[in-house]
Amino acid sequence: MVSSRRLIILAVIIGLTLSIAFARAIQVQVFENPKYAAAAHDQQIETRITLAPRGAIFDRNGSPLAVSNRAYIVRVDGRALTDTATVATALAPVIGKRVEEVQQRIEAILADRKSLTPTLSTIVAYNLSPQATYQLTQTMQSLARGGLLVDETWARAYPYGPIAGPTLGFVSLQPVGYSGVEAYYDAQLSSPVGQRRERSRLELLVITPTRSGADLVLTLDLTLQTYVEARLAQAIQDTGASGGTIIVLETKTGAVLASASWPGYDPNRAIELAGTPDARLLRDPAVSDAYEPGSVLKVLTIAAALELGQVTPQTILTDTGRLVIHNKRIYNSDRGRYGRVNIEDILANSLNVPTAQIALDMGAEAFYQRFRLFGLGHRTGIDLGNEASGVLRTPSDPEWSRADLATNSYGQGLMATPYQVINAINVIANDGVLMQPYVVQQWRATNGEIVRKQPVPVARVISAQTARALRQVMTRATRRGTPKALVKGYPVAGKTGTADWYLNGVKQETTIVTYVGFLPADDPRITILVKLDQPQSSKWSAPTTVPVFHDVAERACQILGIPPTMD
Amino acid sequence: MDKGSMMRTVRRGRSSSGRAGAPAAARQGADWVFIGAVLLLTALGLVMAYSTTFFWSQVKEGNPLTIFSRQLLYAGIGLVGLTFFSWLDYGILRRFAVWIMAGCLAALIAVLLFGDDVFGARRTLLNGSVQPSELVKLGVIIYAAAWLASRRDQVRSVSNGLMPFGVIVGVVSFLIVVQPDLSTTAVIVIVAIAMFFMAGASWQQLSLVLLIAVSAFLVLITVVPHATVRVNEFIKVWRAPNEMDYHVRQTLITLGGGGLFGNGIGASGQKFGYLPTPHTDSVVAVLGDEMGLLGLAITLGLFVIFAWRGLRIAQAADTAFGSFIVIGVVIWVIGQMLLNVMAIMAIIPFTGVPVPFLSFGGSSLVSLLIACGVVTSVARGSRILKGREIEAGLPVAASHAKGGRAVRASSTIRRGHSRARFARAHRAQSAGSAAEAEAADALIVGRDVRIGGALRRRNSQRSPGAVRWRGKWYGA
Repeated sequence: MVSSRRLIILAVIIGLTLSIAFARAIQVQVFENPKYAAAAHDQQIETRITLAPRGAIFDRNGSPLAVSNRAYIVRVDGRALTDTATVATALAPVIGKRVEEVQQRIEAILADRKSLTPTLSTIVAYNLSPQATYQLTQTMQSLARGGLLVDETWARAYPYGPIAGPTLGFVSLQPVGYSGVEAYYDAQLSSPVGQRRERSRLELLVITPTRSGADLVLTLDLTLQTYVEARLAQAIQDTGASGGTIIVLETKTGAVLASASWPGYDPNRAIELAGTPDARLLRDPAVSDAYEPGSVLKVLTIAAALELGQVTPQTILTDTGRLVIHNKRIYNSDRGRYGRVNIEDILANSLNVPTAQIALDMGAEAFYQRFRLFGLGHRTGIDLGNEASGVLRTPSDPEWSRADLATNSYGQGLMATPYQVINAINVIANDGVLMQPYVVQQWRATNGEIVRKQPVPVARVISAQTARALRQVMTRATRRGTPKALVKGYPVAGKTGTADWYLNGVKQETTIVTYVGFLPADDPRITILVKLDQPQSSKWSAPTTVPVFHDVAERACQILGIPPTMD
Repeated sequence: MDKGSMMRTVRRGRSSSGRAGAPAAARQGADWVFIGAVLLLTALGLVMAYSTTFFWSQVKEGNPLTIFSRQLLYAGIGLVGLTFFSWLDYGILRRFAVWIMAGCLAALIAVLLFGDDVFGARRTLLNGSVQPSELVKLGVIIYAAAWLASRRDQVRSVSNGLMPFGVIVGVVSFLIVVQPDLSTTAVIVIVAIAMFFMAGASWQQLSLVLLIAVSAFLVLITVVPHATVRVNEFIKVWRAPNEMDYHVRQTLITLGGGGLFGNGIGASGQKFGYLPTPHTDSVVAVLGDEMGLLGLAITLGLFVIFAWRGLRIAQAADTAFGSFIVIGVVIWVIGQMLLNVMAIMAIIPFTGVPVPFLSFGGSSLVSLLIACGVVTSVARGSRILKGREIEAGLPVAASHAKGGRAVRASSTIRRGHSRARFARAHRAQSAGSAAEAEAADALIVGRDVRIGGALRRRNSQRSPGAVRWRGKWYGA
């Protein structure tokens, strides 16, 4: 049939070729194996940045104020997506929007060539719950083929909604904390190690487990906070004010027990608000908005004078009812002339003229040195984001004049944030020591380490004796001037303040009213600030803020278990 | 082939069959070693098919078994084909050789006219489910075997052997090269040249053919763009390893990552998107990664057994036709395997031919298993060809020597069981005219059916040795 010789030739050719192939296989698989195995390993192990959950935030009793939940981001894959109508129909019910709206958004993304690279701009739905994502995968048979990419992420949730919203702040999609605690403690809350190494596309191997961020425990008391917010809302309704702030401080430490601002916001909705005109609400006025506090600061002027020995509680001063400095005329608020007065009278009747006289007698240097010690004109250092420093002009400023010294003495012509105001008055309550107010009292790192914040005394502003003496004066003045502030069983010391409302630098008919007080006055435990913007029921502080102060003080004593000190 | 070697062949054939002297009706047993190698290779192919498709199948179809089950179905069809063609007397293929060839040409033309465009080439029919060029390979082998067997001595002639054979192979090659599918063309040309060589072509002819084939191929490489690209990629592997092409580099990483014993079956991480076509062209690389050098050696060993037993069957075959078929199939399988494996190892430029039995693909597997069925049938011997020869006293596969050459004995004579018969056949042959011998040749190329009828009639009406050719009876 066939020549054996030729069969042998054929067999030899096959054999030789096979031998070459096998020799090469030995070369590649044995001698060069380390090189190729390393290359395979290198390319198959991919390092991806994955996000660990952001640390939670609790109130002082352990109630969760901010938590991180498993969530999903849905992005559009511009190369795979063709049928926008189907995708929009599947997405719309899941994210609770209209189909046309979703379809428009998807088509806008597709039209934008730049968005074909995966960025935030390709996101069509964010913070989807696992249930919603599951529903989406059920509706669309294959998300990838439909042109949708689903990424795992963590969504910030605030279980109590708007409660303490401005204090907590919010988190963007990146995620970066904005405003409040979220901003100030961004580094601690976000995960320290967000890397995950995984093998190939099967995610067979997770080498570095991710660590979540530290949990924070706030000084806020959720019960008190909730009441304060409700009371503030009530006050806004009662007085017709456009806004307001209530802060409750723990006197001896500077810990913030409650902080409410109107209008606040629900941090759960912060990302939605960010693109709308309501974005201006995404701030904490208590820490970011400086205002003219008014007569509240008379207490500081008198404290400085007492400390310097310029006056004593018994000193009799003469109220001339009118004072002219640098062509600026100063009157008492009721334009009255009270004649012989002591400091108790000044505080009880909130007299501007004698207060200005005390400041003028004290001299600018001594006055501003003391005012700065009280924390005015610079940040308090509170652990909240975006703190404003306020404005306190001193003789070194070119615009300063002696008229400023006179007006500053009763809290006008300067700007301070609500926190600066309450913290300054708290010095009197805290036996003369300025504290650094704080919101976070403790954080628990993921390695189990618990860090407790110690109260930070910033400066001794006045002596304990001066503070005590002034408290007694204030207590008597409060009893005379604003008896409605009194709480049964507790001596109360406080001071009203009223300033004009300015809109774009133009003085308006409306006012901004403040009341700061503390109790029990003989051994103060809590300091409370109530501030209302543009109250309509009255332009004065006493009828608007004092009832609020009373209610908050009474309820705070109940909630915090502060024992009464008198019958 | 001289008489001495022929006689050695005869003895070996007898001892292996153990059926010497049996009645003419007997068909011998199959070569179970050969079948074993085929079945093992098919099983290995199924293992690799699952290993390389489960992930893709899970992603695409939602079930890791969906794509694999298709290959399993084809393996089943192929095994049915193998069994059927083992049982079927391969002699029947000779009768239909022309029709098989015509069918092949029709299929190739259909592909060009109605085929599906995939990656810029038309290679498949019916939405990619049928790739005719795979079955065409088998068809060309059967036709070439029939053609060469019918022209034993004319093979050496340029005008009657080389030229027509070249034209036939050239037409088929042209139809495939315009798809364009250079690799399949190369396989068919290699198989054809090897069969031509085994059929007794002279060394001068062979050199000429190789020269023509190689130069045609070099021209095509420069003309077909993707072929040029692959050759350039190949040159980089050795000249500038750092600029190595992605595909080549990934193939080497996959193969080299396996080491001696491999990473474990199914455990290659390379197939998840790093290595292109892990289930077809690069399946050997994945096999090397998962089963290591050991697995590769076993695989190559199975192919060696395939080649060894195949060539043994070819040598011991009862007809030249059968012998040529087997040689064609062996060259096809081994050649294609080597083209792929050497490309995987960057010994030659990337070819894109699948590895027989191992690469994913239904048409290829079914064609191969049918081919192995035919090989088994050859091993068992043909009753049709043998029976007719004895009845007629005519060595069907024998051909007359032109120009006074010695008469050659055919396999039928060798398997004719006795010297007496051989002598009688020889006498008959000697007695026959030149025209008669020519008639035998002509009949073989597709007129066997008629000869059957003619023979029956001749037995009653004509004297032994009479042959009808072009309507006339010769030697009556």
